[in-house]
Amino acid sequence: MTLTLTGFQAHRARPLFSPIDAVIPAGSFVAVVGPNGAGKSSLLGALAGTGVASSGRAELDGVDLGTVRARNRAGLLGLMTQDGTAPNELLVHDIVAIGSGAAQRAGIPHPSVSDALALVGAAEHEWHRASALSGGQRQLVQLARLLAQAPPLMLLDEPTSALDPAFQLRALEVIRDRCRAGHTALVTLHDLGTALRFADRVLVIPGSGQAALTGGTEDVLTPELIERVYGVSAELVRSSSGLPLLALGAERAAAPVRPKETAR
Amino acid sequence: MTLLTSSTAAASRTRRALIATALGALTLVTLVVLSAGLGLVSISPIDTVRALLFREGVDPQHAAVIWTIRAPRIVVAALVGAALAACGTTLQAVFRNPLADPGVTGVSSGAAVGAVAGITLGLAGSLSWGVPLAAFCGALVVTGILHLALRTVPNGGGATLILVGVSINAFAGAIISILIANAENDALARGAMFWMSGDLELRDWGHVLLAVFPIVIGTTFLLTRGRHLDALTLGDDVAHTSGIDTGRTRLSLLLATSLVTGAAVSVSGIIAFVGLVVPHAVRLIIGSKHSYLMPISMLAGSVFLVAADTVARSAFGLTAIQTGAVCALVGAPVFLAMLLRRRA
Repeated sequence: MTLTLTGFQAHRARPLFSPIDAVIPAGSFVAVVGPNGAGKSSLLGALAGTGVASSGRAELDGVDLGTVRARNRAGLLGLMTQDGTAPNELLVHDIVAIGSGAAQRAGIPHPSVSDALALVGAAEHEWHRASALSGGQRQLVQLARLLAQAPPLMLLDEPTSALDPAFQLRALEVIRDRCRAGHTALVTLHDLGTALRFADRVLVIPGSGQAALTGGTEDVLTPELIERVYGVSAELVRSSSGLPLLALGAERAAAPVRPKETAR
Repeated sequence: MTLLTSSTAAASRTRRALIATALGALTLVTLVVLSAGLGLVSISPIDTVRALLFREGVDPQHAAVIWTIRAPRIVVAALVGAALAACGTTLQAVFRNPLADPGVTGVSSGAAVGAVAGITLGLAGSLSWGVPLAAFCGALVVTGILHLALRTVPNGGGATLILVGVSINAFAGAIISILIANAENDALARGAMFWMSGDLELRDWGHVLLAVFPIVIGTTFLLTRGRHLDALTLGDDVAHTSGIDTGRTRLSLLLATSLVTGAAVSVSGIIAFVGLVVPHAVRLIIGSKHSYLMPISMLAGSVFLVAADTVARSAFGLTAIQTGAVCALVGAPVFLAMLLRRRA
């Protein structure tokens, strides 16, 4: 489904970024990047309708996400928060079943609980208590829950922040596979190298009320933009296998000036 | 293979829940028989069963003791125990905090203020439903305060929930003391002690009648909310995108909790820690999935309170011990242990 943003803004007392106009085609892996406090998580929250104030419109194939009913919402979009990885006394199976149950009631096709857990490599934890797992394992469980819900629009807030490199790759590949199957993912990422490697589009929220930028990852996420947004120098090189690599903080930046962050 | 292990693990949990339910029911029945036989007039279990089932073949005086004094008290204990356990389970999920309980959070105190105010205003005489209704309103005010105070605090607030509860309890206790000190009504002659520490002395079938409908209606609703409660433990944001209308769900859960707590407090005063200890113990055995946790906690709550009340009225001879005091003697150390473990 195509996600269309028209003058979309998230607010925390005041607008966090200037209005976003973007048409994101189905099957896009969109990296949402920007400095701390720029409003990346708030953007996801506003799209999900979780109590973050917003203005403008967000539509999925013409359906206004702001007015959709709770049950139908689960058939359109799903959310993975950073908060969801807090310890929980439920079994892993029960947590992932919340996703598949939501998909079932919304009437959309979805994988089974054990299949979703197998996708992220956490099948052996299905009958363990989530509270007995590590933070990284709980993050995998939350990803599995979202995969079991299988919504057309997946909103993921730092989905790999607690994962080791092997599981980071696995999680990102699973998300990319979903996108290739026609689902759209909006993924907030701090690691710009990851964004360059996995995302086919990028949504830059530069903070300080500046206009958001969107477009193809390599077109937008240039060293010049990174210097302007983050105030650190950047150099893009290719590995021998052709993967994009980003070297940050190279010497040629004399005195990088970070854009002033607004206190809140 | 995966499918096989999945289904066996699921089946073993269902089996464990069924065994826990059967054992709980058996314990409750045994306890009721023993409890009905214990007291100043001791009656053998066989005579007790006869009196309870047939009302015949036993000393009529014994039958009268059982049916007019002990049975209603036991039924009130069972109802209130199930009610408080259901409310504790609900509050723990809604506030994402295993320390939540109607007593600790002040919901029971709010209900007690409502009940005492209702009696002071003369609702007890003119309108039998007036007191539980007033208690419901009191509980509702407190759940509203908790909701507003904690919705901005991440992860259920941790100790904040307890601190909010402490201040609500202190405030409500002061109002109850003032109302009772200035009351002219005979119904309040039992004094602040009954309301603040909870007691089941002199409960009769009228009390059963008063509490049974709101408790049955409220807990029946809570029993159907397993899926919603499970989702809420993942946080409002995740629940909201998992097909749950979180605003409406929270509102209905807090309304049901207020109704049930209000009815329980109207007939028992504030009995704390049942809603904390019971779900905690049940979680250790059958886990936290609410479609299992809720019914088994209610059953265990009945067992716990009937046992506590039997101890309160018969274990110490003529020394008077309130039911609520027995619960606090058991519950407070458990609460402390949980609090310390949580901080560690």
